Amino acid sequence: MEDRVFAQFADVLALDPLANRAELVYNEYPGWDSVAHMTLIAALETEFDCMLEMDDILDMSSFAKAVEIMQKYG
Amino acid sequence: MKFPEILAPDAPALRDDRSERFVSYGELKTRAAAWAARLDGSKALVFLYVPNRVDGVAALLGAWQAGHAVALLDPGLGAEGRIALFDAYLPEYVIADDADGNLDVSTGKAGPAPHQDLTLLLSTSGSTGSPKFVRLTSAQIRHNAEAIADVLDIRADEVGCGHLPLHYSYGLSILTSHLVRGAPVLLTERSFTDRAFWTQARAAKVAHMPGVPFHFQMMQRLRYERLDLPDLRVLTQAGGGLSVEERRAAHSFMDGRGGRFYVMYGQTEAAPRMTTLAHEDFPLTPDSVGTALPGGRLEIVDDQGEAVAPGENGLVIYRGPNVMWGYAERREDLALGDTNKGRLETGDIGRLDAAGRLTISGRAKRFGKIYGLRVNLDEIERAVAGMIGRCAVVQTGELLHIAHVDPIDGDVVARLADLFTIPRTAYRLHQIDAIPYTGRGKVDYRKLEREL
Repeated sequence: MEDRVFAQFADVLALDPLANRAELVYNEYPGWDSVAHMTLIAALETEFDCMLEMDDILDMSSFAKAVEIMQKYG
Repeated sequence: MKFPEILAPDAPALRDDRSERFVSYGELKTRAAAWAARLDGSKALVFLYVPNRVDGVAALLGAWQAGHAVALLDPGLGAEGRIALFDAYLPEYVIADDADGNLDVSTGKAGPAPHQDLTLLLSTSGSTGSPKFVRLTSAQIRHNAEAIADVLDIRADEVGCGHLPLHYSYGLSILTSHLVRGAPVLLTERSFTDRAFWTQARAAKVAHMPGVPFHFQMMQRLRYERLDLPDLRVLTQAGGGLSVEERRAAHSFMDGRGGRFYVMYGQTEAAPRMTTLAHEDFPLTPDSVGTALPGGRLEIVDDQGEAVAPGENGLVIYRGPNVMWGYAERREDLALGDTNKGRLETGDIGRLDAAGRLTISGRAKRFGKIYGLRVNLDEIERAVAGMIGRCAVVQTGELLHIAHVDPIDGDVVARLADLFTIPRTAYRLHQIDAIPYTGRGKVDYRKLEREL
């Protein structure tokens, strides 16, 4: 699960495979702005073949949180 | 420019991320007067790195009340960009956030006096470091604000959502079109992906939600019916083309709740609005941007400037009292008068139907729009070439592709992010064997687009 979510982050934010996952925080990590956030949501929805709830989209404030949320869908 | 004329001093005017209630029009007038007093003196140029906050608007209104020309600038602009703009324009005053996040004024240089009627300078593109500004007068801004208030039927008791940056012409027009009607505006720097944005919009009773295509895509993804804005009455879309399907979703949502959805078209050069498609007309021409604003007129011409046959595509020309005086690139240009004479070559290709509704079909020049920001591809290409040498820049969808021959390091995107306000994730770097050229020795951008 974590790697599947990370693959989407890596793709959208152009991350190094060895990037520190704990540093991935919305509005703090360079490039993870609102635009990237929606691209990321789209990528996760495609990867997990689902539609995220509004609350989940707004709650996804870090990589760890994203993994937690995607448990529900994966 | 003396926005606002106080219609009712006790009426709510502005609220922002730092306030839990609306500041009244009377209070706003007092705060603007305090800024005017701080900026006292003969006609000067004021740089305002404007936040979407009550004090940002008070500073703007105060500077106008003092009779100055104000350049509204992106507070996100880095030090390098700020120095370049300062050197090009020698402003007498610079207003920007201090270390504590409060607006403060510093005195700058003294350049030649701006034209007596020059009121506002706005950047032409999403590349905020660019010194190319549009020159606007009070009459132009006021005419456009009132025309927008008319066609959108903005009412004094309905709250506009001021979430688009005030240095962006569309964002400023939300403010001005509400101020001329004595209507309230919620100013915010929060984004649609922030939960607090929605709770705040609900609490402030937002009735008018504007957006560029990106915001509509986002609302659709969050799902319109779950946004939970009980007072929402109007959605407006401008800032580039939204697909017909996406427009339909917005129209159908608003139609279902007895509200309205407007598609609009404009450019900073027209202060900025040129056309609006009425909610009722949407089903007839869902791909159109509507008819010219009251007082404006559209013409479609060919390469020679001759009118084309009705319904044919050609260059879109707009005439109206809201067309800018012209551009400026340095301080001396601020003394210039009207060089455009109410006529604007939009650089867009489009056609008119029998009812005078405009449909845009493309750009004549190398401009694109990414997330609602106008992007001059040639300008970005020059900036990149300055960093890495030979390159070519093309746009597809919301992506900006940089093709280069020599190897580069990863810092280029970071440097571009400092220079331009395009989202970092929109950049795509491609190392290619050779940049394709046409027979005339120009870069073959179409071929390049196909190859990438």
